[in-house]
Amino acid sequence: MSKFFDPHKAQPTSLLALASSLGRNRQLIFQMTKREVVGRYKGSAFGLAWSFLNPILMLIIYTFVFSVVFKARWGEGSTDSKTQFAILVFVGMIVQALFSEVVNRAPSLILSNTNYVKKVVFPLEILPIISMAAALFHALISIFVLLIAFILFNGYLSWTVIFIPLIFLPYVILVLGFSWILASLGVFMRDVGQTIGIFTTAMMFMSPVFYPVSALPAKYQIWMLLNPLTFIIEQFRSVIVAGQLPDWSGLGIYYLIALMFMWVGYVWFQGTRKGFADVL
Amino acid sequence: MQMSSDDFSIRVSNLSKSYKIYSAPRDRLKQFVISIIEKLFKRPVKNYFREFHALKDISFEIKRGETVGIIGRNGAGKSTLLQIICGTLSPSQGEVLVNGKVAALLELGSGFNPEFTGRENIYLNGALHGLSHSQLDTRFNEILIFSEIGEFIDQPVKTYSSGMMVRLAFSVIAHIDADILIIDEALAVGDIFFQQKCMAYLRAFQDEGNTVVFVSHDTSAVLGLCSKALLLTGHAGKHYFRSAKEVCAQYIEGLYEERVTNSALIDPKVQNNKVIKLEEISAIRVKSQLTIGSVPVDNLIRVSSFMSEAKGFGASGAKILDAWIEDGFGKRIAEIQGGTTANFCILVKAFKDIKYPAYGLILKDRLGQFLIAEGTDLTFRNQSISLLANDSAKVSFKFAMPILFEGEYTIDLAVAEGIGHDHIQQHWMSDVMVFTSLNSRLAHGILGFQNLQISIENLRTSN
Repeated sequence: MSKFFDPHKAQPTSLLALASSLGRNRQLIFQMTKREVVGRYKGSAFGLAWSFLNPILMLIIYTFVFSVVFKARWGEGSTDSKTQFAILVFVGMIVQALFSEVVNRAPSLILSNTNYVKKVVFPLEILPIISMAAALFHALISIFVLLIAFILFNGYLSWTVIFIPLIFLPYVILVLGFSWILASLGVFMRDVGQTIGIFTTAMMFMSPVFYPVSALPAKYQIWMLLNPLTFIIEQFRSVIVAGQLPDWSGLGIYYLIALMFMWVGYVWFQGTRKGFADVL
Repeated sequence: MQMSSDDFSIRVSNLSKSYKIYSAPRDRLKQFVISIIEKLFKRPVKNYFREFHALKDISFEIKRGETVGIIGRNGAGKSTLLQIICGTLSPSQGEVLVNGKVAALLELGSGFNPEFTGRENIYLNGALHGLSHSQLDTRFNEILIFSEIGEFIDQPVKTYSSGMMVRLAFSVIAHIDADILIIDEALAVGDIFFQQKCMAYLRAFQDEGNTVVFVSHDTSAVLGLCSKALLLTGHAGKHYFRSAKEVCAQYIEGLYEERVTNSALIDPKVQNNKVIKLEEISAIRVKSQLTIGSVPVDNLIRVSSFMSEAKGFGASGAKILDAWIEDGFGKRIAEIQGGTTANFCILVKAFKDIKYPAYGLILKDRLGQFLIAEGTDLTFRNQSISLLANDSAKVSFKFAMPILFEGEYTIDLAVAEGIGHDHIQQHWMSDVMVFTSLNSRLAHGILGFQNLQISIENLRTSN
């Protein structure tokens, strides 16, 4: 290896390079994620407690709206308790919220940090990771609240909840891939930032957040599975509510696709970042 | 290109940077769509943009330990070049090789996140330059002291003044073990004390054998600091990389040439290089008209009061208590005209017997260079001016105030014991007073002549 440094050498695109960048910048990622999480509630009286209060309040609202106002029932012929509906919706909302938080912010990640593009040599590839880590922090707290609520409502908790991290991981990997692509596209096409909110809102209704996949006519159910959120939400529900083991083969395929997608996103980002400084 | 060797810091070869300029936004889209279609049908691709060359075919090599100034007019591509060297901007052609760790101060507050506090930004910037958290912990205090930010370090950087911002930025890059410092005109924002401090730091940094690249419009700063300089002349692609003296001279010449050609002042008939002696002209003189004018005194210099908290060092056998300028009636003054008489007084108290005291006064420019350094040492060599313990001395320097170029200057004062080179500094105070020269008649240089009288004689040749 040459001891000289060429500042314009092509950015590495292998997954190994990604791992080494993660290791090298772990301090930076940790600091900036902390900043991001704490910074969100800065100046508010409750501070970090909001990250707990938010999901609790949301859960109370769902419970009230769906069990008292709508008297909704989950699917055909189910004899669920009033609170079960709220739990099921909350699971969907946690998965969907992570997606929309990361994806909504992705197109503006580079745009709002022009300093890091033009004035210092910054490992730009970690910006989507930081935004993901912050969103993940909030998701984990929501999951924690969810588990507590489940115990309070039902008096038990299935041991299968230990698979939650295993189900969440490929989802995080996949959404990261999205984030890299959108972060780069957002720089070159400002329209992406304008339309992304519509896209994530549509995704909320196109995903089985407020209904189970089984509520759809059978011929549409297969299409629904093309939505990357569907499988994760369904698996999540099955380990927590039904106490079933994950669908291992399905999860395996999901891992493969997620990794491939993340790699594509990373390669795209690394390939296009050279042009960022020219258009910002 | 010279042959490669390993003792370089920065090597730039055949570097070009061009931008595509579209006259209307829809041309960008047209270019994108039509070029695809034309390629599809294997037709020559038509361009809807103009190309703007910010840099064209630049090559140079900076050796390790050199300090290089980059000068050029606005828009000559100085900042673009620095950005490419740092790696934040990618070149259209050519390559850059860097040997060593680079720290760059590209623009005011560069790389700071305005929402973060000063402390957080120090850690963030340090991490970007590869320092670990624990390394930064040990350096944090040094950085804080150097920056003089004080308690504001825990405030968000967006609340900082531009001076504070540049102080913080410089302090950070000064403490990250860089081999190469790249500085882009940012220092001009700091006040005179901080500028001098930065210059002192840069000199020490140079002495350790490190490399500095420095962009400036200010040729005197380039001459003061740099051994070599690079002159960029804009998109024509011409660039000169030679000794700082030659390049600065060329730069100034270029500025004037342009002005002269613009105003077409020179009568083409006079443009021969024949030497004409005064006698020849006098001999054929028909009429002359003599105009003598004494130069109006118009150099108002504001004099600050003595800053007792200024930094000092020395053996503490004596202390400088006060200093001021007084007028002919012994009254302290805060303003003085360049060229008029100044009576500069220093009050010193001794804490021990000082047999051969020597008092000194130094006028420094904003780069910290000594312009004038006067002392009592030679003048009073044969007289006993011994100062006893607990006695005080009032020393006055009476002189015609120099005519100063517009800007800020500082005063160092010193009291020492000894004769000639064999001195023990008892108390040396740096930057205890600031002279601010307002509306100077000088357009260049640092000092003007005193009692300057100019006469102009127009000589008419008879045909």
